[in-house]
Amino acid sequence: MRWIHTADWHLGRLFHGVHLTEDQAYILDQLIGILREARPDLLIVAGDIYDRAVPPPEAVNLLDEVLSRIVLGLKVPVILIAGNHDSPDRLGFASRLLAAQGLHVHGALPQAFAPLILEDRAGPVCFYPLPYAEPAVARERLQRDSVADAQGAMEALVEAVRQVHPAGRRAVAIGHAFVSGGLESESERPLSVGGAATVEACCFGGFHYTALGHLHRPQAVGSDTIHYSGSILKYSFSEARDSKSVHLVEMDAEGRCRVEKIPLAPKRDLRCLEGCLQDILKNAAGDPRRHDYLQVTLLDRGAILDAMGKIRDVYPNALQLSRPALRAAASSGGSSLNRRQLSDADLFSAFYREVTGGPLAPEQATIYEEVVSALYRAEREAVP
Amino acid sequence: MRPLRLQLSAFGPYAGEQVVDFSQLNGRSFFLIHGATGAGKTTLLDALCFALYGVSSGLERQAKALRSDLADPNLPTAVTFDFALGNEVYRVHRAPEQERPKKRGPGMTALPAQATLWRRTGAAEGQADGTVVASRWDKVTEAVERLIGLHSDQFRQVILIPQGEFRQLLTASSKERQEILEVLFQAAAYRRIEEALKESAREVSDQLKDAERRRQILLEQAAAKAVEEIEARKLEKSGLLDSSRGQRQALEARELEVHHRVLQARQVLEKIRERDEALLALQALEKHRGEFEAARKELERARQASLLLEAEANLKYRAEEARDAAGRLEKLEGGREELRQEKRKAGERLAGEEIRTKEREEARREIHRLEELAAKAGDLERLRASCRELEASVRQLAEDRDRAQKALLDGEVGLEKKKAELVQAEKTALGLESHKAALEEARRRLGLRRRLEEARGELKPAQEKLAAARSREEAAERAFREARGRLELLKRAWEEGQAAILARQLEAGKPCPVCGSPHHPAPAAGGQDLPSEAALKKGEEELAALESDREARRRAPQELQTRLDRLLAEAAALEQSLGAAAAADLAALERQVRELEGAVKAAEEALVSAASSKIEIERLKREQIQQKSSLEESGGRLQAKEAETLRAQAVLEEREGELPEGLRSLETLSQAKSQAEQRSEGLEKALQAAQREAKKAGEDLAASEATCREAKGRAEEAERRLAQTRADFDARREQAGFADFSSYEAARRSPPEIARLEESIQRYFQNLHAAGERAQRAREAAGGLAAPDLEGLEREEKKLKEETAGLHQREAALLEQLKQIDQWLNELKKNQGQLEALERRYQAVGGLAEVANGKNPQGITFQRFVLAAMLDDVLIAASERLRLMSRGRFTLQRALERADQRAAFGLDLEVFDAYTGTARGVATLSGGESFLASLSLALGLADAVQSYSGGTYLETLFIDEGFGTLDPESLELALRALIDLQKGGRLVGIISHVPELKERIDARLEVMPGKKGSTARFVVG
Repeated sequence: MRWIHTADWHLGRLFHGVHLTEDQAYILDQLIGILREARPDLLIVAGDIYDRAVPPPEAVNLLDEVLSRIVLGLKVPVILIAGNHDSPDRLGFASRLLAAQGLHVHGALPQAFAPLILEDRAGPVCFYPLPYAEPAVARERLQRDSVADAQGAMEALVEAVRQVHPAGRRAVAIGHAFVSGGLESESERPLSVGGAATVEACCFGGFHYTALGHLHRPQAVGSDTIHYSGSILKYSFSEARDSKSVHLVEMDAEGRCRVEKIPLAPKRDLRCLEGCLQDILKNAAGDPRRHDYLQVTLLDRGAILDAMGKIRDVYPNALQLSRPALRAAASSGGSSLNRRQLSDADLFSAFYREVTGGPLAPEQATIYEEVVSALYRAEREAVP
Repeated sequence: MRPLRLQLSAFGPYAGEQVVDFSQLNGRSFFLIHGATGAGKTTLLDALCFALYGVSSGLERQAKALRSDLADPNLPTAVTFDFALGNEVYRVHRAPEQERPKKRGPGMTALPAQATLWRRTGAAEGQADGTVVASRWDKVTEAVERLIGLHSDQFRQVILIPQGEFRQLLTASSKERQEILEVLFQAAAYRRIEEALKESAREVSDQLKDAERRRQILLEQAAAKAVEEIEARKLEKSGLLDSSRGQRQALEARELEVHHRVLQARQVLEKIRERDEALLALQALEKHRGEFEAARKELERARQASLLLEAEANLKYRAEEARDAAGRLEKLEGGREELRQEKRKAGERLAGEEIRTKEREEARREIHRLEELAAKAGDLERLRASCRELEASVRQLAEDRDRAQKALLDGEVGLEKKKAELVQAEKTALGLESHKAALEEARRRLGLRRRLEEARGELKPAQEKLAAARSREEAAERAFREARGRLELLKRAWEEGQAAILARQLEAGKPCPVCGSPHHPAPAAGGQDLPSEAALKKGEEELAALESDREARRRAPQELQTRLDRLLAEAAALEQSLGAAAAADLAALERQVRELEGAVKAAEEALVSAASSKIEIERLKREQIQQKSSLEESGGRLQAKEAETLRAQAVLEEREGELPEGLRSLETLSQAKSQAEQRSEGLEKALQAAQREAKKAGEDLAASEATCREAKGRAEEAERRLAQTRADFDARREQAGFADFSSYEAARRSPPEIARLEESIQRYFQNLHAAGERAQRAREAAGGLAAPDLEGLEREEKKLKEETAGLHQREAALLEQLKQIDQWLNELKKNQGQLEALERRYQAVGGLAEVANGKNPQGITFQRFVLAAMLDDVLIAASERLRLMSRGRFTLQRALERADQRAAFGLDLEVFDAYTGTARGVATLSGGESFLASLSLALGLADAVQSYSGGTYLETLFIDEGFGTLDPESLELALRALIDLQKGGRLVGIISHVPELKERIDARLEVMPGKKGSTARFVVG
């Protein structure tokens, strides 16, 4: 049995104001090419299909196009689950009708867990979709009041699956969670507002393979059967050095899995450039990938007029500009004094020095002390 | 300031009581308030502002318009807000002016605005409110301002950012921003330091001026322009003083000498004068010697006379006594005379009364007579009464008789009428039978006619139905035939076809399956289109169906035909039986039937009424007989009564004659009687009174006489005693040597007079002796001395004295002047010292004050400097966040215009755009960008304030809308920034209707509008 495991498509995402739909279409085209060559038995997409609960029309159209080509054109069954970015109910529309055609969409938590069973020469393999649900929703759907956080919810889900799984069969779990020990990047949306919502890797101990989504870096966490396929595109500049891929998984008769990463090459990559403006502009001429999305860090110390404009002339998709040197200058110029710890006498002498250019004479300092202590005394006594 | 619990009653859209308990957030510090438009989200923040400051959060809602229209009129509008400041817990309760229905009677009473602030630190939930801190509307506002440290305007820029007003802080003028920063960082202290420095500099300057003025005054007083002048003057004066002193001393010595000589001269003159005086005095006294000798004699005689004083007094006493007694006697005798007169008069009156005996008797007799008459009058009254009764009964009986007569006549008339009715009814009843028969006949005819109508009506449809059935039958027949034809064709085709099939298999030389012939001269050639067996079958089935259909259709017309015949027959029969009536109108027949029915009914009724009339007549006849008998009876009674009446009247007339005219009635009699009685009584009484009086007068007189006798006795006694005393006195007088009373009187003197005389005599003789001795002494002392020239000596002395005094004065004046000059010099020296010290001090303090107050090369004040630095801190924190939220593009900074030095420390804000590398004003930001900038500024401000020491607690931030202006990515970034805040322990509440937020934020306060006002509840997790 072989399948392709991918996740975190985030269709409809905006990145620094740019719609990435075109780039996503390009990458998904590649994916379809991979599918055509590899001819797997199943495509697994582990959550975060859309970037928002109500996605823009272009994203919906793209998904429609892609899934039609895969399911109807290539006749590869697809199993989708909802992630934390999707709206489970909206995603799960018409799931029963679509299932008949080979597109298995799992949006909201079902009342009873029915696996997708595919046969290979060694027998049936049960694929269990565990769509993402907030702890409160899981509590209500599974009718388990003990569920208080993500860990509890995942445990409850796995327990429910265990109850219906016939022992001895090969089982694959498809989930969307943050397993502790995994590496985050900047582009994941935290699962709970404030506080970790991590899940322990041992929850998935009973499955022969766990296909996870949510973390955008491809990695294995906790054990070598628990894998994140990573997102299909780089969604933040912190991922600029990574490479994106999908997992091709082969499972043998005993359930042992071999994982191969098939890389994806985007149309416009994400890169970080650093240097002085003049150098950057000079190098742009010889840069083959001038249309990449860039984060430019200028090391110049002086003021530059319309830096972004100049950069965009040669790199039309430069998205972010930062000037760390200016920042440092600004912060040191104004408040070289740590005002919070100075007494008012010190403040005054600092002020004096600042405005007259010379230091405060000792007699003046004493006079200042006299006046101020008289003032404080008078104020103390004046309080009724 | 951290909110704990907010309770609203009848506030805004919350018609009832609404409690928002922030502890339900379970430690979440970021929550969303959401609900439909108009549900009441901003109202919650309004309530918060209102509870604290008495105003609403936006400027558009007035505090008075806060009452819910849906609220129960008995539920007053009020807000109670519990909040924590640091470690202290407070509760504030506020209710605006409003009206409430009166408890008794209709109409509304006005409830005034009320507000109270309690401190509740340490109190548990349900306990009482706590200690009151302030309890009037404005006092509570002041207290809240003091505790929180912010005015309501500042609150609305820093802690609660109202809808549409988030730009306030960003675009505020420098001055406003300065005020807010002052308040938040308590930088007013620096301004006070500035002021204090300025104040003390001014003090020094004033002191300096004072010292200067003093110096001027001193110099003016000394009439000098400089100190040296004064010193020169001093030397001069000292010289003058010394010379003057020398002169004076010499003169004084001379004066002393002359003074001694003067004293001596005076003594001598004195002695001489004394001698002269003493001699004169002695002479004067000697003149009076004779007088005083006479006085001695007088004194002697007076002493003698005093011995008789007592006896004289006694005499006087007795004389008085006698006079008194005589006086009393006179009076009593006078009284007695009067009484005698009285008695005489009373006697006369009594006699007069006794004479009238005859009258009294007459009066009594009259009374008797009248009583007799009264009895008679009583009888007369009774007779009169019975006469009247009899007359009345006569009248009554006459009426009865008349009535009976009338009744009789009426009865006869009635009887006649009833008889006539009976005759009529019998006549009518006769026709009953014939009418009944006619009615039956008419009814029958009507029935038949109706039936005929019906039959006629049915004919036409029956005919039509028959025609239709017939045509259907024909159609079915046709169809059948056609189908049959088609089927035959089909069959033939099939057969031919079969034949063709078979023919196809024919091979020359092979036998034909049908006939066995090996030759096949003309094999059947069938069409290509063979009808299938199914088609055949279908055709046959069709035919069968059509056949059965045809059979069925045949039956129907037959039935219909028979029915139609029947109907026709019936109609004919009916016409025959009806004859002429067949053509008659149905309505006319019905009318006839009705008429006949009426007649029958009338006849039956008449029969019944005839019977009843007969009975009635019998009854009337019986009544008539009764009435006649009663009439007779009443006539008899009447006559009897009339006779009785006449008799009684005769008796009455007789009795009346017995009484006199005017007294025929009881009334007049009793009146007369009472009058007579009165008169008799009067006479009796008069007599008795006269008797009494006479008696009294006699008694009085007797008493008076007795008293007179007594008084006379006493008067005589007194006279006797007087004579005796007089004799006594005279004896004594003679003994003392006074010949008669007058000489006694002349010699008599009162004791004080005697004493005085004695004294004056004694004194005179003493004086005389003393004067003699003095004269003697003076003569001896004066000897033979001569008078000196006192005057000359005195003149000399005076002159010397004057000269000395003049010199004294000059000296004194010079001394004065010298003293004054010394004083001036001292003061001037002191003043100089002061001036120098003050100038030194002023230099120092003044310099500081000027610098602190802005007179320095940079041109900024101390406070501005500190504030600018603080603002920088704030902006650093704000810029951090803004950079994150704008993807690294924008940061906030203070506006620095190099050209104007003063503005270098201004408090204006501007935005630095990293993309263009220039800064621009905050007003150039778009809506969404300025929302992000304001948010960053508010957060930065809270950060900076938190890290400074001091009492302003900015632990809470409420943001009302504004998220709708952000695109989805910016919204994401803004949310991240806000979520980060929770780590700082700050409570952030946002109001928004953006649906994304509802999905992202799991702690929510849902506000739901309902028919009866809104409700809010927390949904956490």
